[in-house]
Amino acid sequence: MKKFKFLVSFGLKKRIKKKSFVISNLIIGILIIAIINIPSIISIFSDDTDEIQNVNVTVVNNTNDTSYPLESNIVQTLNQTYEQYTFDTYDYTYTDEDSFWEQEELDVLIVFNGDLKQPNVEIFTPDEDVRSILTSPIQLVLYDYQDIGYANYDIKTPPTNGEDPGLTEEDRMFLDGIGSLLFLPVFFLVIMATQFLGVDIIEEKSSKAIETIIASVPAKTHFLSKIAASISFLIIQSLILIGFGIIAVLVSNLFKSSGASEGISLFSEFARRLPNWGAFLTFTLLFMIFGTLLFLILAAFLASIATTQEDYQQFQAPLIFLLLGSYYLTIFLPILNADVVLNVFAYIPFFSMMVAPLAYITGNISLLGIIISLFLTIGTLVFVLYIIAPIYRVAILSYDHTKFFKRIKFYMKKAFTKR
Amino acid sequence: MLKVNNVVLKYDDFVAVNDLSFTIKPGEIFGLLGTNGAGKTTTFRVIMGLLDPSEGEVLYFGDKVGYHNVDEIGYMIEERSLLTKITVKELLLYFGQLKSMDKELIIKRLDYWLDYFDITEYKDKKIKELSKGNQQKIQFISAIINDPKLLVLDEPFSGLDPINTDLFVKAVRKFQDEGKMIVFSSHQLDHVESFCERIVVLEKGEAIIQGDIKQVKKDFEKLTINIKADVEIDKLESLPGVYKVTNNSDKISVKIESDNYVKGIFDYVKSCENVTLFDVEQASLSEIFVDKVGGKREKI
Repeated sequence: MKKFKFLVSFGLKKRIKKKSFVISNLIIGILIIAIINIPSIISIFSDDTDEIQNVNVTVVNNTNDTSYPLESNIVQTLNQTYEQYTFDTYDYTYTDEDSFWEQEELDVLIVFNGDLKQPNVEIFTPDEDVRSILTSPIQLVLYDYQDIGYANYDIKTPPTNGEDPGLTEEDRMFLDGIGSLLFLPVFFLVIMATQFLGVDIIEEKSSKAIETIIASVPAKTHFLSKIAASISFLIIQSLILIGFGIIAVLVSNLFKSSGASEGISLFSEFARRLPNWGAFLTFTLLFMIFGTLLFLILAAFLASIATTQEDYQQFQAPLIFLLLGSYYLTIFLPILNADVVLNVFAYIPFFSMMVAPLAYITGNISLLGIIISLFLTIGTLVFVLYIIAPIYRVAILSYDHTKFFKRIKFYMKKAFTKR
Repeated sequence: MLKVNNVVLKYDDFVAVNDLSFTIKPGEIFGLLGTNGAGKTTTFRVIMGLLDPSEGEVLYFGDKVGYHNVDEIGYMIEERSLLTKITVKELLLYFGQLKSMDKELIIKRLDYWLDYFDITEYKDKKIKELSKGNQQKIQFISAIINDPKLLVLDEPFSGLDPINTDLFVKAVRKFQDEGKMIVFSSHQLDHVESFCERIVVLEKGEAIIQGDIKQVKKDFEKLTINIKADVEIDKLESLPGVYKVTNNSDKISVKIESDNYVKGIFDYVKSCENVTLFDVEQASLSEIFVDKVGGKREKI
């Protein structure tokens, strides 16, 4: 155990105490903070007049006092309160709620019912930003009329798709565009971890230092320590990235409090648009850890059967393709609306690392579905570990130069045949 | 004490080591000789527990060699097996801690051995910046950093100049004086002859010569007679027991089958003029090696 801990800490220090690690993280940190706050940064430098949004408003007065100019008063108050919007009255004949959601010309419909001294107010608008700013000006107008009293507000939202209750079409389009960005850090982290592991093992093997090492620690300890060091590195690197994310959010809040902008950030967009954002993040992290372990075991296996650096570069190609494949699936499947394919790949270990969280957030698989997928990955991990650990023990000290599959066949025979 | 008992190592039908047995006592230097592919490195791997023998066993003080006692063993492999991208200090800290050593002790011993080999200035240099000879020294230090009770050295002198070879020999002798067991292989038979008491010569995995060097030489009956005199080569070659005559620039070397034929040759040389040298010497280890290994190969 002492030697295992030492090997893990040695492997970890070897990566972390490098200038390249510090410099690359500094650059990544700056980029993350900048990318997440791009909307806020742009808003600082852009001309405010460009941002003025026209909003068509219709007010229907079904109360006991139809003589009171509700519509003109509300539009006037709205225009006085919000500079970034221009509110205009719009001629619209209200029939029912469904017909409002089907049309596209009118942005806001406000319906007053009952007694105007304490009316029931229905607010219809698909625009979430506008929806959140309407009640205060309306109440101001009502105060002018009624002295005191608070209306009953019923804020209506667009009807949801029956198959996908948590996600609107707009949110889905947002995800399509942002999917690649979401999984880019995962993809890079896994590539980095597998590369480090493979290069580390092949460096020891090709230099023959492995004989001195295996003469001191069992091959199994060496194998597990390399994987543990790599996954620890991945977790540390992820924590650093999350740290940068938190800093980015703090910077975003700074923009908000300084009034320089509305404090728009990608994180707040995610949180606003995706109702199960927390579960998604948790599953993404779990899939990243177990999925990476799966890839690391494969990388360790490939490095152990390789004899030179060149050998390893050649052998690891399928692994990289597998990673690239699952990353591309997260980009293209949502764009192509290939929900069935997305569903299938969400359950296939290796691919599921990135596809399953995406399938979950887009509503293609349920909570139970993603849990099953996670257990499938863990099961595969245990199985692969059981198969590869004995092969690693045999292959790591062997310098067979035969062809790839012949080599694997030979090592498997040696690993599972008792002499 | 290290006991190798009837060790056999097979890969399918190929027999890498066949029924090998020998014992090494504390304070003994044991030589393992053989041509390339004879099974020396495989034998070392079996001793180190890196390969499980198909038959037989290796006992280290009565116990099987395993990861519970491997920290008491030092192993230097034939090829340079160093991580070249890290410094000498980092490498020794790595290998030393794999032998369960404390950092302070590693540094203390590293300083001692760097000073011994006169390479203290390389402590913080990367391995790849060192010459091959100095890399060999570092590899040797990595094998002895844990002050092992058993030192396994696979070709320790390859690539070393005579001065550095002498330093290595002295270091190995120091371990011998401290009662450590040393087993080593070498192609340089003069080294084996100079400081081994006992040897095993392997050929195709089998021990073809084994035992005390003096006895091995004694048992080998063939002798060499060096002569300086006005002799006729043809006449010498025709004498009984002579199987080879070599006319060197300064002397004539006559190989004979056994000491039974010395008198006949001496009688002939006595009859010649200008006799200044008649010296009978035992065959060298190198000659025995060539004779035995060559013979074995011819049979095969």
